[in-house]
Amino acid sequence: MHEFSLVESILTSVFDVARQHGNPPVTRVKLEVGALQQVVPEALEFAFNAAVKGTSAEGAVLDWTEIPARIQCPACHATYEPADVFWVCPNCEAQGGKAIAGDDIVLASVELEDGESGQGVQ
Amino acid sequence: MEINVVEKVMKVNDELAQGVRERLAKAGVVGLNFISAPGSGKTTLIETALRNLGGAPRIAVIEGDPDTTLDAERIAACGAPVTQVNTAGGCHLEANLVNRALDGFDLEQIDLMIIENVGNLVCPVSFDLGEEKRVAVVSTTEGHDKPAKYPKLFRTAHVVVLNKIDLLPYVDFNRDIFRDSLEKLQPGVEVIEVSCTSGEGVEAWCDWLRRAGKG
Ligand SMILES: Nc1nc2c(ncn2[C@@H]2O[C@H](COP(=O)(O)OP(=O)(O)O)[C@@H](O)[C@H]2O)c(=O)[nH]1
Ligand SMILES: [Mg+2]
Ligand SMILES: [Zn+2]
Repeated sequence: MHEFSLVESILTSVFDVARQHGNPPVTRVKLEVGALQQVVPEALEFAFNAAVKGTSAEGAVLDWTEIPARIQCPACHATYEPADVFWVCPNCEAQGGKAIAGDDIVLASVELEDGESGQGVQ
Repeated sequence: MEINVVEKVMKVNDELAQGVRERLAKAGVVGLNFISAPGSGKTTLIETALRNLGGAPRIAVIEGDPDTTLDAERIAACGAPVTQVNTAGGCHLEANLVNRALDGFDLEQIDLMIIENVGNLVCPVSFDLGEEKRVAVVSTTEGHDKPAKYPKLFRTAHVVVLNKIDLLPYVDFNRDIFRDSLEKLQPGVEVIEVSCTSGEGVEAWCDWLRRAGKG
Protein backbone atom coordinates (compact mmCIF):
# COMPACT_ATOMS: atom_id res chain seq x y z
CA MET A 1 0.00 0.00 0.00
CA HIS A 2 2.71 2.51 -0.82
CA GLU A 3 0.50 3.98 -3.52
CA PHE A 4 0.16 7.24 -1.61
CA SER A 5 3.90 7.85 -1.56
CA LEU A 6 4.11 6.95 -5.24
CA VAL A 7 1.39 9.48 -6.00
CA GLU A 8 3.15 12.12 -3.93
CA SER A 9 6.29 11.55 -5.94
CA ILE A 10 4.38 11.54 -9.26
CA LEU A 11 2.59 14.79 -8.44
CA THR A 12 5.82 16.55 -7.49
CA SER A 13 7.09 15.89 -11.02
CA VAL A 14 3.72 16.69 -12.59
CA PHE A 15 3.52 20.11 -10.91
CA ASP A 16 7.15 20.81 -11.83
CA VAL A 17 6.23 20.28 -15.47
CA ALA A 18 3.07 22.39 -15.16
CA ARG A 19 5.01 25.22 -13.52
CA GLN A 20 7.54 25.26 -16.36
CA HIS A 21 4.62 25.82 -18.73
CA GLY A 22 2.86 28.64 -16.88
CA ASN A 23 0.82 26.45 -14.53
CA PRO A 24 -2.18 25.52 -16.69
CA PRO A 25 -4.58 22.84 -15.38
CA VAL A 26 -3.31 19.28 -15.73
CA THR A 27 -5.73 17.13 -17.73
CA ARG A 28 -3.93 13.79 -18.03
CA VAL A 29 -0.99 11.95 -16.49
CA LYS A 30 0.48 8.94 -18.27
CA LEU A 31 2.37 6.26 -16.41
CA GLU A 32 4.25 3.18 -17.51
CA VAL A 33 4.11 0.56 -14.80
CA GLY A 34 6.40 -2.45 -14.87
CA ALA A 35 4.68 -5.81 -14.42
CA LEU A 36 7.18 -6.63 -11.65
CA GLN A 37 6.07 -3.65 -9.57
CA GLN A 38 3.65 -4.77 -6.94
CA VAL A 39 1.28 -1.90 -7.56
CA VAL A 40 -2.49 -2.21 -7.60
CA PRO A 41 -3.91 0.01 -10.38
CA GLU A 42 -7.16 0.71 -8.52
CA ALA A 43 -5.28 1.69 -5.37
CA LEU A 44 -3.01 4.01 -7.33
CA GLU A 45 -5.98 5.63 -9.04
CA PHE A 46 -7.77 6.03 -5.73
CA ALA A 47 -4.72 7.66 -4.15
CA PHE A 48 -4.25 9.88 -7.21
CA ASN A 49 -7.85 11.11 -7.24
CA ALA A 50 -7.68 11.86 -3.53
CA ALA A 51 -4.37 13.70 -3.78
CA VAL A 52 -5.31 16.00 -6.69
CA LYS A 53 -8.44 17.37 -4.96
CA GLY A 54 -8.22 21.14 -4.75
CA THR A 55 -5.13 21.34 -6.98
CA SER A 56 -4.73 22.33 -10.64
CA ALA A 57 -4.74 18.61 -11.46
CA GLU A 58 -8.19 17.95 -10.00
CA GLY A 59 -10.15 15.80 -12.43
CA ALA A 60 -7.04 14.81 -14.41
CA VAL A 61 -7.15 11.33 -15.92
CA LEU A 62 -4.53 8.81 -14.82
CA ASP A 63 -3.48 6.72 -17.81
CA TRP A 64 -1.80 3.44 -17.35
CA THR A 65 0.32 1.21 -19.59
CA GLU A 66 1.75 -2.02 -18.28
CA ILE A 67 5.29 -2.81 -19.37
CA PRO A 68 5.85 -6.58 -19.56
CA ALA A 69 8.71 -8.05 -17.55
CA ARG A 70 11.87 -9.05 -19.40
CA ILE A 71 14.41 -11.31 -17.70
CA GLN A 72 18.00 -11.97 -18.66
CA CYS A 73 19.12 -15.53 -18.07
CA PRO A 74 22.16 -15.72 -15.76
CA ALA A 75 23.56 -18.71 -17.70
CA CYS A 76 22.99 -18.24 -21.44
CA HIS A 77 22.08 -14.52 -21.33
CA ALA A 78 18.95 -15.05 -23.43
CA THR A 79 16.16 -12.62 -22.57
CA TYR A 80 12.58 -13.72 -22.12
CA GLU A 81 9.24 -12.78 -20.60
CA PRO A 82 8.66 -14.92 -17.49
CA ALA A 83 5.55 -17.10 -17.39
CA ASP A 84 5.50 -17.42 -13.59
CA VAL A 85 6.89 -15.91 -10.36
CA PHE A 86 9.64 -18.50 -10.61
CA TRP A 87 11.79 -17.45 -13.56
CA VAL A 88 12.98 -20.31 -15.74
CA CYS A 89 14.90 -19.67 -18.95
CA PRO A 90 13.00 -21.19 -21.91
CA ASN A 91 16.33 -21.66 -23.68
CA CYS A 92 18.47 -23.46 -21.06
CA GLU A 93 16.16 -23.84 -18.02
CA ALA A 94 18.45 -21.87 -15.70
CA GLN A 95 16.59 -20.22 -12.84
CA GLY A 96 16.69 -16.70 -11.50
CA GLY A 97 18.30 -13.88 -13.42
CA LYS A 98 18.00 -10.15 -13.68
CA ALA A 99 15.04 -8.01 -14.71
CA ILE A 100 16.04 -5.81 -17.62
CA ALA A 101 12.55 -4.39 -18.18
CA GLY A 102 9.27 -4.19 -16.32
CA ASP A 103 10.75 -3.23 -12.96
CA ASP A 104 10.13 0.53 -12.97
CA ILE A 105 7.34 2.99 -12.67
CA VAL A 106 7.89 5.81 -15.15
CA LEU A 107 6.08 9.11 -15.53
CA ALA A 108 5.78 9.10 -19.32
CA SER A 109 3.98 12.37 -20.01
CA VAL A 110 1.81 15.12 -18.63
CA GLU A 111 -1.04 16.66 -20.60
CA LEU A 112 -1.79 20.31 -19.90
CA GLU A 113 -4.87 22.30 -20.88
CA ASP A 114 -4.23 24.32 -24.03
CA GLY A 115 -4.73 28.07 -23.93
CA GLU A 116 -2.97 31.41 -23.78
CA SER A 117 -3.75 32.54 -20.27
CA GLY A 118 -1.45 30.27 -18.35
CA GLN A 119 -3.59 30.85 -15.29
CA GLY A 120 -3.82 27.68 -13.26
CA VAL A 121 -6.49 27.10 -10.64
CA GLN A 122 -3.65 27.28 -8.19
CA MET B 1 -0.66 19.84 -25.06
CA GLU B 2 1.23 16.74 -24.04
CA ILE B 3 4.65 17.12 -22.46
CA ASN B 4 6.92 14.09 -22.55
CA VAL B 5 8.71 13.52 -19.28
CA VAL B 6 10.00 9.92 -19.06
CA GLU B 7 11.26 9.97 -15.50
CA LYS B 8 11.42 7.19 -12.93
CA VAL B 9 8.91 7.83 -10.18
CA MET B 10 11.46 6.55 -7.65
CA LYS B 11 14.08 9.02 -8.84
CA VAL B 12 14.05 11.29 -5.80
CA ASN B 13 14.27 8.40 -3.33
CA ASP B 14 16.92 6.63 -5.42
CA GLU B 15 19.13 9.73 -5.46
CA LEU B 16 18.78 10.23 -1.70
CA ALA B 17 19.56 6.54 -1.16
CA GLN B 18 22.72 6.93 -3.21
CA GLY B 19 23.66 9.84 -0.93
CA VAL B 20 23.14 7.65 2.14
CA ARG B 21 25.21 4.88 0.55
CA GLU B 22 28.12 7.26 -0.09
CA ARG B 23 27.86 8.78 3.37
CA LEU B 24 28.03 5.34 5.01
CA ALA B 25 30.83 4.12 2.74
CA LYS B 26 32.92 7.20 3.51
CA ALA B 27 32.68 6.46 7.24
CA GLY B 28 33.37 2.74 6.68
CA VAL B 29 29.88 1.75 7.81
CA VAL B 30 27.96 -1.16 6.26
CA GLY B 31 24.20 -0.54 6.05
CA LEU B 32 21.72 -3.39 6.48
CA ASN B 33 18.00 -3.13 5.71
CA PHE B 34 15.87 -5.61 7.71
CA ILE B 35 12.57 -6.40 6.01
CA SER B 36 9.83 -8.74 7.27
CA ALA B 37 6.17 -8.96 8.21
CA PRO B 38 5.29 -7.47 11.61
CA GLY B 39 6.26 -9.81 14.42
CA SER B 40 8.74 -12.06 12.57
CA GLY B 41 11.37 -11.18 15.14
CA LYS B 42 13.47 -8.41 13.57
CA THR B 43 13.93 -6.55 16.85
CA THR B 44 14.53 -9.79 18.75
CA LEU B 45 17.20 -10.86 16.22
CA ILE B 46 18.96 -7.52 16.72
CA GLU B 47 18.74 -7.79 20.53
CA THR B 48 20.02 -11.36 20.40
CA ALA B 49 22.96 -10.33 18.22
CA LEU B 50 23.83 -7.37 20.46
CA ARG B 51 23.85 -9.60 23.55
CA ASN B 52 26.02 -12.25 21.87
CA LEU B 53 28.48 -10.25 19.79
CA GLY B 54 30.03 -8.41 22.72
CA GLY B 55 30.69 -5.15 20.90
CA ALA B 56 32.38 -6.45 17.74
CA PRO B 57 31.28 -5.42 15.19
CA ARG B 58 30.06 -2.12 16.60
CA ILE B 59 26.35 -1.95 15.79
CA ALA B 60 23.98 1.00 15.69
CA VAL B 61 20.28 0.74 14.89
CA ILE B 62 17.64 2.85 13.16
CA GLU B 63 14.20 1.63 14.19
CA GLY B 64 11.36 2.30 11.77
CA ASP B 65 7.83 1.92 13.06
CA PRO B 66 4.52 3.60 12.33
CA ASP B 67 4.38 4.73 15.96
CA THR B 68 5.90 4.42 19.49
CA THR B 69 9.54 4.19 20.65
CA LEU B 70 9.11 0.68 22.09
CA ASP B 71 11.63 -1.02 19.77
CA ALA B 72 14.21 1.74 20.30
CA GLU B 73 13.88 1.25 24.06
CA ARG B 74 14.53 -2.48 23.62
CA ILE B 75 17.69 -1.76 21.59
CA ALA B 76 18.88 0.96 23.97
CA ALA B 77 18.54 -1.54 26.82
CA CYS B 78 21.16 -3.66 25.02
CA GLY B 79 23.53 -0.69 25.04
CA ALA B 80 23.58 0.13 21.33
CA PRO B 81 23.15 3.63 19.88
CA VAL B 82 19.64 3.84 18.39
CA THR B 83 17.29 6.32 16.74
CA GLN B 84 13.58 5.71 16.37
CA VAL B 85 11.98 6.94 13.15
CA ASN B 86 8.20 7.10 13.19
CA THR B 87 6.53 7.04 9.81
CA ALA B 88 3.20 8.35 11.14
CA GLY B 89 1.31 5.34 9.85
CA GLY B 90 3.46 5.03 6.70
CA CYS B 91 4.07 1.49 5.51
CA HIS B 92 7.80 1.75 4.75
CA LEU B 93 10.94 3.80 5.39
CA GLU B 94 12.28 6.15 2.73
CA ALA B 95 15.84 7.29 2.15
CA ASN B 96 15.23 10.87 3.34
CA LEU B 97 14.18 9.57 6.78
CA VAL B 98 17.30 7.42 7.02
CA ASN B 99 19.50 10.28 5.87
CA ARG B 100 18.10 12.49 8.61
CA ALA B 101 18.42 9.75 11.23
CA LEU B 102 22.14 9.37 10.40
CA ASP B 103 22.74 12.87 11.81
CA GLY B 104 22.14 11.47 15.28
CA PHE B 105 25.09 9.03 15.16
CA ASP B 106 28.86 9.25 15.38
CA LEU B 107 29.43 7.20 12.22
CA GLU B 108 33.17 6.88 12.86
CA GLN B 109 32.37 4.72 15.90
CA ILE B 110 30.11 2.31 13.98
CA ASP B 111 30.78 -0.74 11.78
CA LEU B 112 27.21 -1.89 11.06
CA MET B 113 24.15 0.33 10.72
CA ILE B 114 21.07 -1.86 11.04
CA ILE B 115 17.91 -0.28 9.70
CA GLU B 116 14.81 -2.11 10.91
CA ASN B 117 12.15 -1.31 8.34
CA VAL B 118 8.42 -1.05 9.00
CA GLY B 119 6.86 -4.52 9.19
CA ASN B 120 5.59 -5.15 5.65
CA LEU B 121 6.66 -7.54 2.87
CA VAL B 122 5.65 -5.35 -0.07
CA CYS B 123 6.26 -1.61 0.20
CA PRO B 124 9.76 -1.53 1.77
CA VAL B 125 11.07 -3.58 -1.14
CA SER B 126 10.55 -0.72 -3.59
CA PHE B 127 12.42 1.87 -1.53
CA ASP B 128 16.20 1.78 -1.60
CA LEU B 129 17.52 3.13 1.72
CA GLY B 130 21.17 3.19 0.69
CA GLU B 131 21.86 -0.15 2.36
CA GLU B 132 24.61 -2.48 1.23
CA LYS B 133 22.66 -5.61 2.06
CA ARG B 134 19.05 -6.61 2.53
CA VAL B 135 18.11 -9.04 5.28
CA ALA B 136 14.73 -10.75 4.83
CA VAL B 137 13.24 -12.34 7.95
CA VAL B 138 10.46 -14.93 7.90
CA SER B 139 9.18 -16.79 10.94
CA THR B 140 7.86 -20.34 10.92
CA THR B 141 4.39 -19.22 11.99
CA GLU B 142 3.90 -17.25 8.76
CA GLY B 143 3.83 -20.26 6.45
CA HIS B 144 6.27 -21.63 3.88
CA ASP B 145 4.49 -19.95 0.97
CA LYS B 146 5.77 -16.43 1.72
CA PRO B 147 8.64 -16.43 -0.81
CA ALA B 148 6.29 -17.35 -3.65
CA LYS B 149 3.76 -14.74 -2.56
CA TYR B 150 6.27 -11.92 -2.09
CA PRO B 151 8.89 -12.78 -4.73
CA LYS B 152 10.42 -9.34 -5.08
CA LEU B 153 11.77 -9.31 -1.53
CA PHE B 154 13.27 -12.77 -1.82
CA ARG B 155 14.86 -12.05 -5.20
CA THR B 156 16.69 -9.05 -3.75
CA ALA B 157 17.58 -10.28 -0.24
CA HIS B 158 21.26 -11.00 0.47
CA VAL B 159 20.33 -13.37 3.24
CA VAL B 160 17.07 -14.94 4.42
CA VAL B 161 16.68 -15.59 8.14
CA LEU B 162 14.10 -18.22 9.07
CA ASN B 163 13.27 -17.35 12.68
CA LYS B 164 11.30 -19.16 15.41
CA ILE B 165 12.43 -22.65 14.39
CA ASP B 166 11.64 -23.68 17.98
CA LEU B 167 7.99 -23.58 16.88
CA LEU B 168 8.42 -25.99 13.94
CA PRO B 169 6.83 -28.92 15.84
CA TYR B 170 3.66 -26.90 16.35
CA VAL B 171 3.08 -25.40 12.91
CA ASP B 172 2.67 -26.95 9.46
CA PHE B 173 5.66 -25.11 8.03
CA ASN B 174 7.28 -27.14 5.25
CA ARG B 175 11.00 -26.33 5.20
CA ASP B 176 11.59 -28.13 1.89
CA ILE B 177 8.97 -26.12 0.03
CA PHE B 178 10.30 -22.96 1.66
CA ARG B 179 13.91 -23.61 0.68
CA ASP B 180 12.97 -24.87 -2.76
CA SER B 181 11.01 -21.73 -3.61
CA LEU B 182 13.85 -19.53 -2.33
CA GLU B 183 16.28 -21.43 -4.52
CA LYS B 184 14.03 -20.89 -7.54
CA LEU B 185 13.69 -17.18 -6.84
CA GLN B 186 17.38 -16.64 -6.15
CA PRO B 187 19.67 -19.62 -6.79
CA GLY B 188 22.31 -19.89 -4.09
CA VAL B 189 20.76 -17.44 -1.65
CA GLU B 190 22.02 -17.90 1.91
CA VAL B 191 19.43 -19.09 4.45
CA ILE B 192 20.04 -19.03 8.21
CA GLU B 193 17.68 -20.91 10.51
CA VAL B 194 17.42 -19.38 13.96
CA SER B 195 15.52 -19.57 17.19
CA CYS B 196 16.06 -16.53 19.36
CA THR B 197 14.20 -18.39 22.09
CA SER B 198 16.23 -21.61 22.23
CA GLY B 199 19.47 -20.12 20.93
CA GLU B 200 19.72 -22.59 18.05
CA GLY B 201 21.36 -21.00 15.02
CA VAL B 202 22.24 -17.83 16.90
CA GLU B 203 25.95 -18.45 16.38
CA ALA B 204 25.46 -18.70 12.60
CA TRP B 205 23.44 -15.49 12.70
CA CYS B 206 26.15 -13.69 14.68
CA ASP B 207 28.74 -15.02 12.26
CA TRP B 208 26.89 -13.59 9.30
CA LEU B 209 26.83 -10.19 11.01
CA ARG B 210 30.56 -10.42 11.79
CA ARG B 211 31.27 -11.10 8.12
CA ALA B 212 28.94 -8.28 7.03
CA GLY B 213 30.67 -5.92 9.48
CA LYS B 214 34.01 -6.47 7.79
CA GLY B 215 32.53 -4.76 4.71
N1 LIG C 1 8.91 -18.67 19.86
C1 LIG C 1 9.68 -17.68 19.43
N2 LIG C 1 9.25 -16.41 19.53
C2 LIG C 1 10.06 -15.42 19.08
C3 LIG C 1 11.32 -15.68 18.48
N3 LIG C 1 11.87 -14.51 18.09
C4 LIG C 1 11.00 -13.54 18.44
N4 LIG C 1 9.91 -14.08 19.05
C5 LIG C 1 8.73 -13.36 19.56
O1 LIG C 1 7.99 -12.82 18.47
C6 LIG C 1 7.37 -11.59 18.83
C7 LIG C 1 7.68 -10.49 17.84
O2 LIG C 1 9.08 -10.23 17.87
P1 LIG C 1 9.69 -8.82 17.43
O3 LIG C 1 11.17 -8.94 17.54
O4 LIG C 1 9.05 -7.71 18.18
O5 LIG C 1 9.26 -8.77 15.89
P2 LIG C 1 9.39 -7.57 14.81
O6 LIG C 1 8.03 -6.96 14.70
O7 LIG C 1 9.79 -8.25 13.54
O8 LIG C 1 10.43 -6.62 15.31
C8 LIG C 1 7.85 -11.28 20.24
O9 LIG C 1 6.86 -11.65 21.15
C9 LIG C 1 9.09 -12.14 20.38
O10 LIG C 1 9.35 -12.52 21.72
C10 LIG C 1 11.75 -17.06 18.38
O11 LIG C 1 12.81 -17.40 17.85
N5 LIG C 1 10.87 -18.01 18.84
MG1 LIG D 1 10.36 -4.52 15.65
ZN1 LIG E 1 19.32 -19.52 -20.36
